[in-house]
This record gives sequence, C-alpha cells and structure tokens, in this order.
Amino acid sequence: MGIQDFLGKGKATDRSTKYEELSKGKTEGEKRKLEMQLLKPEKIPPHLSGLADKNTFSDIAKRTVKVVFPDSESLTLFRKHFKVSDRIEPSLLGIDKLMAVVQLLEDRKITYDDKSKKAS
Amino acid sequence: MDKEIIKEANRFVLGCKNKTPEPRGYGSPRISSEVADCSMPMTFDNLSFCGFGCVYCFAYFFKSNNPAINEISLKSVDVDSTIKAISGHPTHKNEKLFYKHFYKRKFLLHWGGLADPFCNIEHKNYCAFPLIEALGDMNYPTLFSTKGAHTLLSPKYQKLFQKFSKQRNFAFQISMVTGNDALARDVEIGVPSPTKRLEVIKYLSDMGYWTILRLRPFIIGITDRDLESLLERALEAGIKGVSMEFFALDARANVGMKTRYDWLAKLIGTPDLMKYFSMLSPSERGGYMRLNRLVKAPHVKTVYKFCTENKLVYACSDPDFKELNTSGSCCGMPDFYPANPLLQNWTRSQLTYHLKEARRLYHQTGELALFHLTDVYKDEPFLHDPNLANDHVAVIGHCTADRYNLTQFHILQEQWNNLRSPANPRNYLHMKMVPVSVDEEGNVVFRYNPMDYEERWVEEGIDLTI
Repeated sequence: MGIQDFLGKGKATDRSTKYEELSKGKTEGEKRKLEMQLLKPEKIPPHLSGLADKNTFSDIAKRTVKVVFPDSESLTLFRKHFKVSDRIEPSLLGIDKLMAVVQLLEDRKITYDDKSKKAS
Repeated sequence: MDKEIIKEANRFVLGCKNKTPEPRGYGSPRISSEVADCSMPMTFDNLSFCGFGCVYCFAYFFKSNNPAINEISLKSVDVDSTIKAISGHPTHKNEKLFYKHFYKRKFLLHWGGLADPFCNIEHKNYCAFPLIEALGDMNYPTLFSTKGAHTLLSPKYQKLFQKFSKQRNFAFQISMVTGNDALARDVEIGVPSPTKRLEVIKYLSDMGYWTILRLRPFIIGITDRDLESLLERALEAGIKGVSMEFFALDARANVGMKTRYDWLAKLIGTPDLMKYFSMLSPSERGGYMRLNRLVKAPHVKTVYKFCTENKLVYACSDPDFKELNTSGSCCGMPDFYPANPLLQNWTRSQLTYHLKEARRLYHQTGELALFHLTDVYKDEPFLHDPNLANDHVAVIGHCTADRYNLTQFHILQEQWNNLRSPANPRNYLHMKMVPVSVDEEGNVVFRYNPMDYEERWVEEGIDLTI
C-alpha cells in the first residue's frame, strides 16, 4: 500500500526525469516526439465487474466466470452431467468433475478439434 | 492563420458579433455536467453564442456538432425575468427550481461556461448590463469567466464595477493560453490581446476585486512557451490565484474541428494531433482524450511552485493533479474571503474539495483517507431534486418514467459504482482514488492513492501540506 500502488516506484521517475533532461533546448516538434516516445500512459489494471457490489473486491469474484450456453438443449445436456443449482442464480455446484475434464484436456488424454467441434 | 478557420469562425461565431440578440429564448442557468467535482455547479450564460473565435474552444466543439445550429439564432436569457427570479420572485418552473436551491441562499453564480459574458456581442449591445447591475445591487456573489478586456474597460462597465468595488461581490477569472500577443493572434480570433487582459487584471485587482489567472485550456506547446513570464506579469497585475486545466481533444471530430485540430497540431509541433492525443491519453477515460499525468507534470509543477511561493491559490480543474488544489474550488475561489463571505458560498460537496483534503491529510499525517459516496455528496438538496437532472447527458437511454425520477445523485451513484465508466473516480482520476471495499449502503469505498511524483516533489522541497 502507498506510493507504489499505481505508478511503480522508480519506474515513472525514470521516465519523467529522462524526459526533463532530454527535452532541454529542444524545439516544440522534438519535444512532442519525445513525449510520444517516453511518456505513454500506464494501463490501469482491469476490473472484473462493471457495477460493483459487495463481491467486487472479494477473492471469489476474481475467480468467477459466467457461462452462457448456445441453446437450452446444450444446458440440459450440461445439467445431465454436472450439478447446477437454481437457487438465487443458476450456478455450478462442485467444480471437481469439470476440473477433471479440463485436466484430461490439459494432459492431452482427450483432445478437442476446433473444426469439427468434437472431442476425441 | 489558416483561411478556412477564419471563414468557419466567421460563419459560426463571429457572425454573431454584429447581431442583436433576441431578448429571450435562451435557457440558463443550468447544472454543470461536471457536478461530480465542481464547486460552482450553477453555471450561467446570458447568450446562446459567444462573440469570440478561439480555435481551441470546447463550446464550439459541442455546438458545431449540433446539426440544428447551421443557421445561427442568437438568443439571450430573459434579463428582466432572471432579475426577478434572483430577487425572490421566480415565475417559470426552472427559475423556481434555481431560486429554491441556489438564489435563495445566494449561492455563487458562475457566469461564462459556454460563452464569454463580455465578448464582442456584449461590447456592442450591453445586453447583460442590467443583469450585472442588478447582481451588484443585490450583493449577489458572482464569478465571471472572461477574456473581454475591451468591454470591461469600457466607461460604462468601469463605472459599474467602481460602484461595487467596496462590496466585492464580484470576482473575475481572466482566461489566457499565452502571454505572447502574436501567438495569441494565431489561436484567438477577435479576442483582446493578452497584454490588454493583463491590463484589466490590474484594473480590477487595484479596485480590490478577487482576480484569477485562468490558464485554461493549458495547451502544451503553446502555453508553456512563456509560462514563467506570464505568471510573473499576472502576479504583478495583482492576481490572487491561478486555475489551470489542460486542453482535451474530442475524438468525435467534424470537418470544422479537424481543420482546427490541424492548425493546432502545426502550432504545437506535431504532424497529427489526433495521434498525439490518442497515444498519450489513458483509454480508461473514454473518447474525450486528456493527456496523462506524466506529460502534464512539469507544467503543473511550475505553476504549483509559483503559487505556493507567492501565496496564491493554486487551482487545478484537470482530473490529473486535482489533489493539488489549495482551496476546495478548482476555479480558484478562496476557502475564506472575509471581505465578502458570500464569495465563499460554493459547495464543498464535490470531489475537488475532498481530494484536496485527502492530499493534505496524507502529507500532514501519513494517513490515507477513505472516500464514501454519501460523505462526498452530502448536504446538497439540489442533488436529490429529480427536476434538476432531466437535461443531464446520462439520462439518454433511460425510459421517460426513469428519466423523470432520476436525480443528479442517482447519476453520481451510478458512475461512482460502475468501475468501467469513464466517469468513475478510478478511471477519471486515473487511479488517484482506488476502490478498496463496499460500504453498508452498497456503495464502493475509495482510498486516496499517493503517487511517485508526491514523494519526488517532497524530496525536492515542494510543500504538499498546504
């Protein structure tokens, strides 16, 4: 917490000090070029959520994704193999089974073909 | 100067200067769209157009994008009706609203948001004169934002401002982008020279009025060329504060704007102004491109140091370095003004005031302030009146029923909690305030975020505790 939070300590200093030194005695055109070379803004970290709620800053929110199925048949098929809770909002109950499938993909024990959209 | 620009300025703005305004039909005051961090959200213009042709004018950018403005119809507010409203006898719905929330408690009137009160039209017609005289008679606190030195120095206005000089209910922001007369002619068509404007600062300051050098827009490549000398000359003329904000570029440019952009690009020394701005502006702030802190820092440092060393109010309306304000008003009005305390009558329920307090707290005690929505925007009933949000740009997209129930506070709350909105404090101030939690009311809590430059400046001996 503190001064390092956003502009990393020393990082911005280097750039602005360098600019101040290098721009001395330069023409307006040269200064603009230097600014474009040295002083591009830092991207601020993206936020997961748009409208913030009590979960926005929680660790859980950072590990959450929403899935939209292409049609209701696909969701029915998914529900057949994975437990989906409809309490409050539909969500997956228990991640182990899904992670086991993902692990098989990772270990190349099963593969997925993008063209045929089939696993083997 | 580029002939196309002069032609366009003549068509769009200067064409007005020989016209007599229609005596009514223009609706003002209004609530500023910058209400989130504005100390004087009641902003007023007496005319629908300005009789000056400044190449960098943001009002031109807004107005020239309005397809209904091909044929200029120069309109004035109804002066008699406005005087009646301010003096306690409002007749129209809007007048009643502004009386209830502002006039009644003599809230500071900021005159000169989208047009100059003392421009060439006023120089010819004196259509605002009766209203300004009435404001004087009522001891109504008013801040003018102007470049109209020729009108202010006319015998008629000299006499008027002499008359109220002991009362000091008026204050003046004199706008300049350069102190160099020749350079000013390249960017300001039909506007009194900087030398003349410094003359009017001296004239008004000598009478005892609060005067502010308004370095807005600060155009890097133009304003910084003779910045030190301009500050010295303005100090000598008697200014009490400096207010700055950097030039910003609207990405939605029409042909007229592009011609102006090309001309400005040539003056500041870059082949493509749009590219320069898009490369150096944080994308999180949306299409109204404002350069990032690193580009602005050396110029802010020069002005801040000058102000603190000379005991002037330092004011920054820019989202970057807003924390450095030494009063809670980024227009440069004082926190305390014993000569006429009515000039202190601007709102503290806005971010500029709270950011300034947070910066002071950090540098005085090391404590990091937290910002709660209901603390920042407390004590301002106008924020909760649904009739005062109808013309806010944020109501677009809402259905009529929602629109008529929406308040300025709702809009502020939505922006405050939407971390993707360019108006969210995190994005708008580019991480000067960082979200840390959500309070019991479900609103995001932000924390002051000290930055590298503060540590560096303190090491250089710059006082950030003021």
